[in-house]
Amino acid sequence: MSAADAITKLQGKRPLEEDTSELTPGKLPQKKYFRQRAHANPFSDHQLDYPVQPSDYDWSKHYPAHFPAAGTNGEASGKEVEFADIGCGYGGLLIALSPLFPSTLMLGMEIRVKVEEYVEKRIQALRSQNDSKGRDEAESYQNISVSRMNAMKFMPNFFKKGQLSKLFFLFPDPHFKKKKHKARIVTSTLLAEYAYVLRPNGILYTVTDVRDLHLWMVKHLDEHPLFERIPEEDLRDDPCVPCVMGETEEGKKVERNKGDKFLAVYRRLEKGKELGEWKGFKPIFEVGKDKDGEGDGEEEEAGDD
Amino acid sequence: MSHTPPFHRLLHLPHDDLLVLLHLDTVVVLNTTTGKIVAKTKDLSAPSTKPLTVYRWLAFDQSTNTLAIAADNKELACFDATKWEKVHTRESIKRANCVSFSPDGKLIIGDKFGDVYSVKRDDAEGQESLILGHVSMLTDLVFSQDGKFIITADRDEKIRVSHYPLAYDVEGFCLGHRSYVSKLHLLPFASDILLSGGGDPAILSWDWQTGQIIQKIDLDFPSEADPKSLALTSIHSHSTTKLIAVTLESQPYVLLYDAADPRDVKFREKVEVGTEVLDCEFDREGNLWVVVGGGKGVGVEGVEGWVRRWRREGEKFTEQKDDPLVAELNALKLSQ
Repeated sequence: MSAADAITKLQGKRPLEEDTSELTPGKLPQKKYFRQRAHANPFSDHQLDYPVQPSDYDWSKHYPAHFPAAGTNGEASGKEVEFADIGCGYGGLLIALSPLFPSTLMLGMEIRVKVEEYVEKRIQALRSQNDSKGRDEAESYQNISVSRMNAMKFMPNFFKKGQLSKLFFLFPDPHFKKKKHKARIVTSTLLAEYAYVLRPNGILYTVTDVRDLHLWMVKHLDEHPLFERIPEEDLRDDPCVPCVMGETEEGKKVERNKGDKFLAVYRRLEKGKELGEWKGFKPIFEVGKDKDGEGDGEEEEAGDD
Repeated sequence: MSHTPPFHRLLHLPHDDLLVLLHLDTVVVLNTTTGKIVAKTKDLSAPSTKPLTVYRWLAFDQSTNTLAIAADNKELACFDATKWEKVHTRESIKRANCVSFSPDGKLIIGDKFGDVYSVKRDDAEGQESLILGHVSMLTDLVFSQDGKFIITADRDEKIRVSHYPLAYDVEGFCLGHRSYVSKLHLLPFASDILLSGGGDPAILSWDWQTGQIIQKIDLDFPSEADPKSLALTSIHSHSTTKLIAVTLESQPYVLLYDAADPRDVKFREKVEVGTEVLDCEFDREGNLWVVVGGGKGVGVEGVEGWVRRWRREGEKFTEQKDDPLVAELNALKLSQ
């Protein structure tokens, strides 16, 4: 979500036109029918569906070409999701990466209902338009999917230890107020879970146009013993970087508004960095300074910002 | 009309015949072989402080002989377990939901935001160190016997196994609960087995190092009751008798299980208490001590008292009428 979006609230409701993309198979959905407010409270109950553990999950609804549905004869490809886009928005990154890594499975996670529906329809349309292509052929789009999911709470339910090789955080919600900092997608405590699902030498990408958020994420990643920054010059050959910077709706919006984009890419280390005796992280809150931080994060109102 | 239950939590010290009971903001210590009250940190009949402070969570550190208490008002108090005097006190950042001592003697607190902090118990001003965090409320935490792992549970069914002291490194998860987890218990006589429970109708037994479920141990719960009201409140075990005691919220009984084969725990007995059980503990001989809510003082309207004891006689547990070991405790005049 860009800075502009975070500050502006959507005005009123759109006119009640129906999205007609379903009537024509293969027709791409139009974003204007799938707009939803940028902010969603990750702590509240969104009535999400999630498996008790990764081996329980039915991936065939996401990647039918790779996971045959129960009772059918198809052969599984043996692949597992390797790239995850946290807060994938309208799916720009997934669609750009799909042909670059045609036999790698990628999952976008999006907590907002309408936006997730949009991405689902978009992928269906793209698959339908390209159904003559082989499963592992570039632009078959059989390797991408989206899930309505709260990545902060339920990553270990979907992904096994070290399953992912890439994790993307593109234009995350800045949560400007100090009392909301705990809701930021990158925190010292959540980094342990991201390190768990990412394999050693797996890569974590962050980009934002909010400088304060960029500095926050860099600080927390630098302080986390399991992550090490990859310098800019080492990223020159990474095909993901141009997609991360320019292929999402947010990225394009920032460019139109001539904003800055701040990129920070990290490697998940095999072993913790040598930092001397680890003394833990600095707490977000401080003793006695309750006025800013009071209130159970779980009881916050949706839309509290 | 319900009044404040007098004793709501128990802890039996590991190497002494001492039972620690909490009543509002007072600690009462009882000798379990003589029934004598050994210590009280406050005059129990004095009116309680306003606003009311309730001591909620206890942890005991053998090496420094310290009892730590987390209170409703965010106070973390440490008592010397010989003189029974408060020796240290500090404030926690947020109200603690659970507290434990780490193998290296630090006080570890889990709070309602899911964060776990480590503090030096004797340092009132020192900063807390955030060692790990869940995204939802932390409900319990335990350390592995060798001190190399910390196991934490939360309200979103998760049990996480992290290294210690490098708790940023997650070893694995124990995934299997379908409802919140409220209690964790490592069997002292089978240290690779973790028991956990909460809102599910069964306790899960885990090989916690691999995250594999060993066994589902069904809980006896009245069929006419609303299944959503099932809430595990405690799990205790006894190293010699290999018995496990389980209490459920608002239920008037204690469930006993036999863990002679820790990988095949069997239901043994349902001890009918007759009134809502708040907590229980085994003493060193394996007798069962129970604290109840809704009871009455001994001598008033019958034998029921706040604290009751079931003696272990071979395979059976029996409650003795006019048990002298609970008499002094039940005769206390308590403030409301």
